[in-house]
Amino acid sequence: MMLKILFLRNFTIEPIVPHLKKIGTEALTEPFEEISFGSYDTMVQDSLELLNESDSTQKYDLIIVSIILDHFAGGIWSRDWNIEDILAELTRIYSILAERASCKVVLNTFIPPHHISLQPVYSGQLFDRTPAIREINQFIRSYVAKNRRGFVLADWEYMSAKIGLSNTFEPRFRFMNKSPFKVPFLREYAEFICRTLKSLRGIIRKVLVVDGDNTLWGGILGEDGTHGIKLDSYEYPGICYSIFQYELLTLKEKGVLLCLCSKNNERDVWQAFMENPYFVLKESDFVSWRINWTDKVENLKDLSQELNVGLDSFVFIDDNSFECERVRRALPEVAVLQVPANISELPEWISNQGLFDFLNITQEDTQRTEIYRAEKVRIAQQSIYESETDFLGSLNMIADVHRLKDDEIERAAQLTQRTNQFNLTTKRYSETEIMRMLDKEDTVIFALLLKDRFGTLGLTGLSIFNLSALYVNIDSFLMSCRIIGRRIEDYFFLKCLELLPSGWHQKPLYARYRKTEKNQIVSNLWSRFGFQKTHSEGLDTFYQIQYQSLNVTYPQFIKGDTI
Amino acid sequence: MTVDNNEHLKSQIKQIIADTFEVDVKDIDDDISANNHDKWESLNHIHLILALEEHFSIDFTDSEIMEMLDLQSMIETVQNKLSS
Repeated sequence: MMLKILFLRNFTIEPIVPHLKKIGTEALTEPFEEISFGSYDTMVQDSLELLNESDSTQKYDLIIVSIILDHFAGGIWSRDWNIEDILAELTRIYSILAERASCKVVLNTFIPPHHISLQPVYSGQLFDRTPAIREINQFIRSYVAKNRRGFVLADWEYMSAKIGLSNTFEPRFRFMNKSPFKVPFLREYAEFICRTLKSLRGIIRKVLVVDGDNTLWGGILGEDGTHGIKLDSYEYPGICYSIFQYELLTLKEKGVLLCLCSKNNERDVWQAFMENPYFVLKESDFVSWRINWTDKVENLKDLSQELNVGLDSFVFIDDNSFECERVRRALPEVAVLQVPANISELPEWISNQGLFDFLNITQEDTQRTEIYRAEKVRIAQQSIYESETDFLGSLNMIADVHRLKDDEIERAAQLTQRTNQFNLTTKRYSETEIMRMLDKEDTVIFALLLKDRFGTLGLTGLSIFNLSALYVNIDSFLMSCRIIGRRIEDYFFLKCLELLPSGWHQKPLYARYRKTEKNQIVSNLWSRFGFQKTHSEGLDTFYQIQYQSLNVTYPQFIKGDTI
Repeated sequence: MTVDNNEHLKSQIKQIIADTFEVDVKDIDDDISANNHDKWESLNHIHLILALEEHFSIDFTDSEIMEMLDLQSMIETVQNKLSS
């Protein structure tokens, strides 16, 4: 796969290209195939023409709207400039994009002209545009917040504040070539675009393994004791560590799985968590831990196996350069971060790494730690049952299969993007694409919700069926890895067919298995269900069956109900 | 400034032009200008100016940017900046 992006702009943004390519080479796993630009003064027409849906060659991964106010809607230095015209024109462009674009669209805020507001005189003069621009920016921010499925916010006002206004504008080229930005700003913006692309491609880490001593708290617990470690939020360096814990808690709420890996006595560590009042994190915020004197490389491998998450989704944080180097060498796929030498940098440090940029957060994300912790209890229970059927029966599983609902679109897209193992065709879809499919008469999408006596597992299965006059085609069939091995696929598949609109059961069912590096586990699924193999083509194997020849039955231990 | 220095400056600037235009430095003639080289368009002109400013730690004025449209005037302008 290669990346294709399009800039819709009203100024010379081309100088960003070398920065995009440079940052992209480091941060992204695939190169840019195409970086296109709309023309300067025809943003609206370009939006309409370039995004003509019938033209499949124009499928972009990201559309980046870049507008400056210099010449927008009459020009900011015009006497007649007014906020209503700007808002109307922006709304017009945004609505066209909302309707036409099949990928995410980046929208920018504006940078107020600082030279007026910084004068030591009464601000809010007639021609001071600053208050109006702030108002427009608020409008853009809430527009993106309300339309998260289609849009991403590039907050230029904030970016420029971060690097400083004097590093933002290049007046000479702004007025000679309509190229207003200095290199530091272009670099900041390119960085943002690459981070957005990374998130879109699902290049996101899922597990964060963190050390204890001099990482979660200052000092050595074994020497300084429960109350001697530095975590006091009124003192330096305690405050830095307690903010760091708060940052980790925020990541956990977004769906990152936290693990603790520390060379300590386990009892001492949990005692400190309980008795030292400055701990922000609690034991229950960690999905798992290895508090022992074993080599950290072994502990990491062990955690990866326990959670069933690949080491390429792991981040390892430690203050010790030896441990960091050891993990880097032994497990190159793990992202290793060494705690900064200046502890005052610690609070902001983790969020600047670009490892956990989630564009959307679903309900499943916020509950992920709890879901995985419940899974540990399940596995522990499994050993007390003699047979697998007894164990599965003891779970009291309840499955809810239904046509995908509007508020489940984010999670559905996320499942298509993240599910690698139990995924028959591994087709990735954006929220916008799922949304469009929901409106199509000839496409049916089903969702599977699952819970058992240990708790909810959330929306963990998705299937997409295309209905043609002559046959039914299974476009996608996938389940989250955390429910593999319970024969839920049998239930889910049968239930989907049952829920297909009437009349479709006489038509043949077409299915496909597309081989990837990770989905070996389902290579025989269609055969097991009774499908006949028709032919193979490259990585694809095609199957066919008549409804009555299916060889699947509802497992006894799964009950259907509304969740 | 001696002839040697002048030659040295010329070869540095030629190298910067070549890097900016992504061509071999051998293809940069002494008489190169915005009029006779198709890579020397307005965007590359910006890149070129920025590269020169960074390399020599100097700042050009509006009119210098507008007028430095061939190698010869570029050398002269940079030389003036460096010696002042």
